[in-house]
Amino acid sequence: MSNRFIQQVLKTQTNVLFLMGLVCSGLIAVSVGAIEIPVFGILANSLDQMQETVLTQIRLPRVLLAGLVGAGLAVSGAAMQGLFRNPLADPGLIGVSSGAALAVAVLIVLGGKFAGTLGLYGMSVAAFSGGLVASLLIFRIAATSGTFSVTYLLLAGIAINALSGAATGFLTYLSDDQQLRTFTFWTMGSLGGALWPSVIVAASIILPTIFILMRYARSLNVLMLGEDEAKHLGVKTKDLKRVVVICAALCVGASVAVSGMIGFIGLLVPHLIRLMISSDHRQLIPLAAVLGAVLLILADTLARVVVAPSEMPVGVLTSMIGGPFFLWLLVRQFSNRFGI
Amino acid sequence: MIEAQHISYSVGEKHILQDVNLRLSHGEMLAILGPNGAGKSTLLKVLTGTLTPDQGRVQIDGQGIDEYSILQLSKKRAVLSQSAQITFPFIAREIVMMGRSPHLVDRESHDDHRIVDEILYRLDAVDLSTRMFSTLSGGEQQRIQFARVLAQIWDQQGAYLFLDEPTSALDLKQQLNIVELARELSHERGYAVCMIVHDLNLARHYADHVMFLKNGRAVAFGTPEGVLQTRSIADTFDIPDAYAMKFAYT
Repeated sequence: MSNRFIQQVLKTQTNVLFLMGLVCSGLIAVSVGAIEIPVFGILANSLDQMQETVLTQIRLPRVLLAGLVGAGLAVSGAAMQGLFRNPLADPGLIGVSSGAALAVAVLIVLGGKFAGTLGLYGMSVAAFSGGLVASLLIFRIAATSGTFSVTYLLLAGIAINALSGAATGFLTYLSDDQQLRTFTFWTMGSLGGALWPSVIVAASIILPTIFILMRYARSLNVLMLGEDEAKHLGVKTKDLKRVVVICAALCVGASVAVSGMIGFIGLLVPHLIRLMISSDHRQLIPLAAVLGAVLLILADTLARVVVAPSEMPVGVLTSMIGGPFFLWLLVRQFSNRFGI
Repeated sequence: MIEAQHISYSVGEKHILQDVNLRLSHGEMLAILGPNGAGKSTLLKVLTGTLTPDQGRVQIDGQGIDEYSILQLSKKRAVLSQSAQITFPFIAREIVMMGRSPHLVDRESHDDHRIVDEILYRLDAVDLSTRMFSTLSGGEQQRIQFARVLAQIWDQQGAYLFLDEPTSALDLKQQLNIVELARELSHERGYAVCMIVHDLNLARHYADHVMFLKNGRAVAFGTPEGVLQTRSIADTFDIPDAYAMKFAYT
């Protein structure tokens, strides 16, 4: 009994700690930059006119967007990994993000004026559809072998990444100067364009999907036992898979639409939570959301500061950190399997 | 009671099961035996509702298995299959608790924890329960999976328990422990137990009924005394009479 009580206390403590981390990283992120905004000034509400404008019009939307995108990517990563029962299923690696980016590229180049009138939601819809098509494709390919095998999953991901890379490349060739600039933004991933409308679009898509996925957390746990086992335990696996694929594609689609391709958050964050805290999706999903938000907020702050007054695309930064991490993960998995 | 009538199942041109009939009452234990590829696992999947047969029907407590919702079914029957690997780090106890999943409203209740504790104690797996599942040996993992399966139906009288080669990864003592516990539970809680085994002696000692399956047909079905005869053992497993004799009732 007391053991369980201690666990409960630890759980609450972890949650509090994570939320504190979120608040702290948010405060740091809004205060650091070309124009210094002291944290104390924000809390005491004693900022001058300029600081206030920078805060409300530039910093705040950017930090919020970073948080939302980070949370969305981390949660969709956690959900996809649960669905495929595989820790390597990152939306970027298996081609969901590049499918979404391709759809956005098509919209930018071929949509013309049409794309402009649809605005951000149009981008989101395109990104969502691209992501969804890619997810369904991968899902079908990975399932042909009966169980989801890592090999099929990653190979399918490579193929889809290559295919959308080629298609995006072809579109780049067709595009004019203005479109070319926009592309660069997509492929590298940046939160530089963050304004309130993007925050609202991202929030209205990402937050609800996170809540929906949280409701399926227990079913995802049971799915870890295997698909037949989950069915034996009363889980409607078909519905579950459909919900997870759609929600993950929505999250990734919204993220890609507002910030381009930001890699490795979806891979790194859920894995860290599993290592440090628990694989129980009821904890994993909310904590991944918070940690994803924290990491991307900090990474984006770093990206703004390291090469100031210019700034680095945050996607480049996350890949620089995520790449080695992924290699480490691979080596660890193989050495586990073969006992090296 | 579970009753299967005229079950046939085929994949493409290949007949996996042909006109299989069986009936199993509460408190009874059935052992299904047969050579590899005889259709044992497929039969079990039909009986548990995982596969729908091309012909014939399965009835549980007088109602067609397809008339139950997937959740209703999960409260009536539990299945220990030859399970897939679990790739993520879970503590063994968390795995066992997943068996309670059909009964949970939101969080695990005091009762759920009590049930898990009871089962772990009965299976002599209390020490294992705090370890990471992936660090357990094959046999230990199998025991934890069995505990998980029992957790699903522990508080249900007259449930159905299906075991697909429950003893494959186990040493002799653990084999006995699992089959003996299943046997006890069939008496204690009126479980109808249906298991696939390879060990003729195990079937002889514990089962009330034995079925021999070969090429998708039930070539023998009845009491252990009736089925485990030299002739039928030799024919089913394609082994010489002199060897089959050693397993037969005399």
